[in-house]
Amino acid sequence: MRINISALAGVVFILSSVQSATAKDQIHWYSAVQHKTHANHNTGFVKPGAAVALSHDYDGKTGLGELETLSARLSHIYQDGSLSVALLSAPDIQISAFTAIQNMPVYQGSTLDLPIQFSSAEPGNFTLSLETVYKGPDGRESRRVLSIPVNIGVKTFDKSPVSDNTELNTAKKSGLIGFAAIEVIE
Amino acid sequence: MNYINLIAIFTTTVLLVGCGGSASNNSASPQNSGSLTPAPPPTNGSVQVTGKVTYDRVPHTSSSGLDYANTIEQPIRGAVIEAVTDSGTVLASSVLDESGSYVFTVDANTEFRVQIKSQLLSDNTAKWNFSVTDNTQGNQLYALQGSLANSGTNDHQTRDLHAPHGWTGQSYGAPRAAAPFAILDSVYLAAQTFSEIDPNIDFPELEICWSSSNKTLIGDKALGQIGTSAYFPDIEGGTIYLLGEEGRDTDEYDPHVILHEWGHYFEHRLSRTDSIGGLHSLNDRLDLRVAFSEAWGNALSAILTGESVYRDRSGSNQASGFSFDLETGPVINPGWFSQASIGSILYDIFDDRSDGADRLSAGLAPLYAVMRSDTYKDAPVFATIFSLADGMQTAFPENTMALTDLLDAQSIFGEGANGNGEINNGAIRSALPVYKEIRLNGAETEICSVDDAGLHNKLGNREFVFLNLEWNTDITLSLVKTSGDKNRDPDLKIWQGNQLVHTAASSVQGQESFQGQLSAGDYVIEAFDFFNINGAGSKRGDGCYNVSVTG
Repeated sequence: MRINISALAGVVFILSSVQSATAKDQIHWYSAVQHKTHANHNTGFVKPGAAVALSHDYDGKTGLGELETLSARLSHIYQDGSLSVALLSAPDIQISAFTAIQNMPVYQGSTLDLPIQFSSAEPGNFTLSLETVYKGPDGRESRRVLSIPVNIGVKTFDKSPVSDNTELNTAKKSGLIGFAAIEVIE
Repeated sequence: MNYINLIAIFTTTVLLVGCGGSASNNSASPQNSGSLTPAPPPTNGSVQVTGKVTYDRVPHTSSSGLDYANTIEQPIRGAVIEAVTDSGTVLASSVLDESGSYVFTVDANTEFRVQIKSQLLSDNTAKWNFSVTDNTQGNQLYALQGSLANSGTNDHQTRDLHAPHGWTGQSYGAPRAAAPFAILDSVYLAAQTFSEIDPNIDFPELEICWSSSNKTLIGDKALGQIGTSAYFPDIEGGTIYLLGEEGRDTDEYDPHVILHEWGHYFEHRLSRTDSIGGLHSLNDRLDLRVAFSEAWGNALSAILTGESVYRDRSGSNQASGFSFDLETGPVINPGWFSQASIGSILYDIFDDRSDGADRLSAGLAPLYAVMRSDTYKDAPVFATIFSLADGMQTAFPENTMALTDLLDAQSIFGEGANGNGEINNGAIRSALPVYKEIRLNGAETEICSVDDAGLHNKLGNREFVFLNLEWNTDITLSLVKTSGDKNRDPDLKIWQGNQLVHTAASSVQGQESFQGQLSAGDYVIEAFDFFNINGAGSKRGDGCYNVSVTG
């Protein structure tokens, strides 16, 4: 599946102002936590980038043509500088509402709530991605893209193959994924 | 893991060997040709086949983004090349040389195709087995494949193969054949560089998982939900996952990202790391273990590429990105907890440019020597800038003054492997001393866990207490809250070297304890508040605790 991405900087209407969040039901944390369980942080030795984490309250299902509203929450560790956020989505997803953030000053402990309203007439598994850009007080930027799985129709993302490449053989390294070379034989 | 048995290759009926014969007269490295038998001359009924294999390297623009318009063809180096029949039978195998060239002899009138696997293999004095696989398709290798064609009846045949990037102007409208080989080429650079320093280096096997479906979603990696590019030490003994999702974030043409993660593999499998990983950015005040590990990744990527500016491209049409310069960038919050400070120091140790406080031009070899040394790997304290600097000063005393200048310039003043006497607390009072000390049945010492610099892996979240036991002892180790709100929940880990020997993580508020026997030796007690490590925010906070050890 080839996805043409478009940056959605325009605002159709504003669902609500950006503000510090209160606790919500059904928050899906990138850093999901249960007491005394291993935290599901972005584990591993991750590449450099903006130290921003994403949570959301999307329930994982959206009907065809249904107008869906979710709230994405960005948390960060910064005490100063600014944060910009753009939304990247597939062309099959119609965004009804999203307010792009431009150089919003950040301070310790602040979070950003970003309401997103969308719909789609096409069934499938998509992603809504937030492209975050942190600019430090020294003017240097760092970035990180964070995504929310969006499921239009009956399937849920977790049960659906992501790749358009058919999994021909699931045995580990049992075969090869061939790419045709440009070849000159003389 | 799939590991080609080179010995078995020579039982095949067609012999395929690397280009050029001995290392003395070809551009191939000894590592690429040493295990191969010389190519037999063509005989009646045989055909010598030669060729060159290349891939599209997409450079970065000077400002941001990938520069498809200036794509260059580069040789695929060190990858496994095979001659295979239509049924998939491997007739022979070898590795491409430094120029992407090969030569072999096959029977006349033989139908076969040439394929290049996404695998680097060396079975010489320096050994490695690095592969790029698709985690969304059963971790299969990629292969660049030529057409099935007849070798003919002439003495010689040429087959040149090229892997295109697949960009068709507005999107990846064609298969991204070059991507796995672009990744491999960065790894080849690393392997070659270190094998020149240590010709007998034996790299542990490494799998690098890349797919065009690898997304910025956290979830099931088999579905491409990898979150971000990262090294995961707990997967298959250490595995790198790289992003590949078009229009969001792709990393196959980001050598700094690839080599940063490869640097984590290096420290994990060949040296020592005590990092706990997690999100980080340049000016963060980090846990000292994370700061060093990330700085090493940054510096190594700059050292190996020869470009001090770290670049990472992403976004729509891969036209965005960010960068930072390890050589000249200003450092906010400099210190032993700053990956920017430490990265600058490591790069300055290496580079041959003298500027500012940098009078060192030692190259990569001293860093390699220290990081591979038993003293460094087996130290009772964590792998940090302090243990690295201590190792450098011990092994290369002639560089001590110049190294001290570099450290001072980044506001790092502690001495020895434990940073004794450090005075820079990063504006977090409890962060010093770097390691507190406690004695068996001695006075209590106070530690704190604070969230001033953030959560999970930031400075002040955890404190470290050094404990020496002269003999095997049944101990009681206690943390008791001295300040903090009702949510405070202290936990502790007990380390011996970089081995975690015990964890105490009860849900009891305000206190924690461990009872058990510890053998004689040195330990580091890592103490922290659960909600400053795992919290999503609501219960985070500052708390202090008295630590006691009795027995």
